[in-house]
Amino acid sequence: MTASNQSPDAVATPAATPLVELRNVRAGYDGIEALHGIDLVVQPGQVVAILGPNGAGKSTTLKLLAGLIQPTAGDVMVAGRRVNGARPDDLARIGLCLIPEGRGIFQNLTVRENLWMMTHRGVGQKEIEERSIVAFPQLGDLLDRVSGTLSGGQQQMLAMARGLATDPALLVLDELSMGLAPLVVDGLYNTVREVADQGTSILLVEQFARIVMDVADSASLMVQGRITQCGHPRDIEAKLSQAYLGG
Amino acid sequence: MIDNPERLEQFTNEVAEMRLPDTRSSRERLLLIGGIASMALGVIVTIVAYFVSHGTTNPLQQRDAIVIALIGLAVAIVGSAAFLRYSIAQFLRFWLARNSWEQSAHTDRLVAALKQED
Repeated sequence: MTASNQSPDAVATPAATPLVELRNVRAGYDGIEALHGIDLVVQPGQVVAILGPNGAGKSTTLKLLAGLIQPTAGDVMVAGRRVNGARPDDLARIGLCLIPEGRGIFQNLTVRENLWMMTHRGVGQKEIEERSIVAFPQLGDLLDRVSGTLSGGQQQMLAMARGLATDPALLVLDELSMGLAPLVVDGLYNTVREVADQGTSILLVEQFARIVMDVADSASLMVQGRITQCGHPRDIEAKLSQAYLGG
Repeated sequence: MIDNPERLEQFTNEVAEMRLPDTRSSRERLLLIGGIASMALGVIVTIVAYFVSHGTTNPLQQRDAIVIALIGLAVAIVGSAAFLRYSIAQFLRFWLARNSWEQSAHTDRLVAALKQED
């Protein structure tokens, strides 16, 4: 698959090393291939969306990037370095932050304890709490609540707050909108937009193009483990409907 | 498109300095295999030394055989230690992951029960 997802902005600065580049990457689970040679580029400061129906390989791509699964072929390049085989904790430590599907928070810990877990990059707990409350004021009243008892939207806010507290260089979001009310999704994507405006690169996965229309610079349509089309989310939307219908 | 050059530079430097684990995991595996090989070699050397000492009445040769047997024993002990160290490390990693998963599943059940009670 050779389709390029570079936005016009990215083309304007050809000398820039992509923050992330997947080159003909193949990967799978227990010998069953899920990604059949994908190419993807995320330039510094760019917001890239991967769109596609269930089972297309979107989450697998993110897991691969975060080091949770290893490629069977191809190159995973981060800031110009081949990082095939890098450990997920090493990638997280340098600022590649994955917010997984299902939020990935510690359900049995309080909100404050969840935030404390993110002090591994040397940022103090107080500062992390302040940053989190600035991004999500609602969390201020919930600091001592056990996070498993929060609503889905609040849990997603906590997951985002934890991610943002580490000052990520690349924020990787897996179906932020899953199981949430449209209003909550809008609120979360407003924050994503603010984060993107501050220069953080974002790679996100969604099932619906409309959700990411105002956020993403470019989008890649993924179907059955292959990237079939790249462009603006608006251009991808029609193709996405076809993909859902198996066309 | 806005970017953040300072953070980007820091990230690039950290990626460049990042130690890739391929070498570490292959070293661990090498030491594990080395441990098994040393264990086997040590035992073989000790057995050979035993037969050497039995095959002669010359006390000098018998003392040489005792020294060889002791070296074999030492090699086997070092090999066993390396094998235990690296196989236990693998087991503990698995145990930690399993423990974490079980704790999470237990919490899920607890939260579901509390929600039901509400």
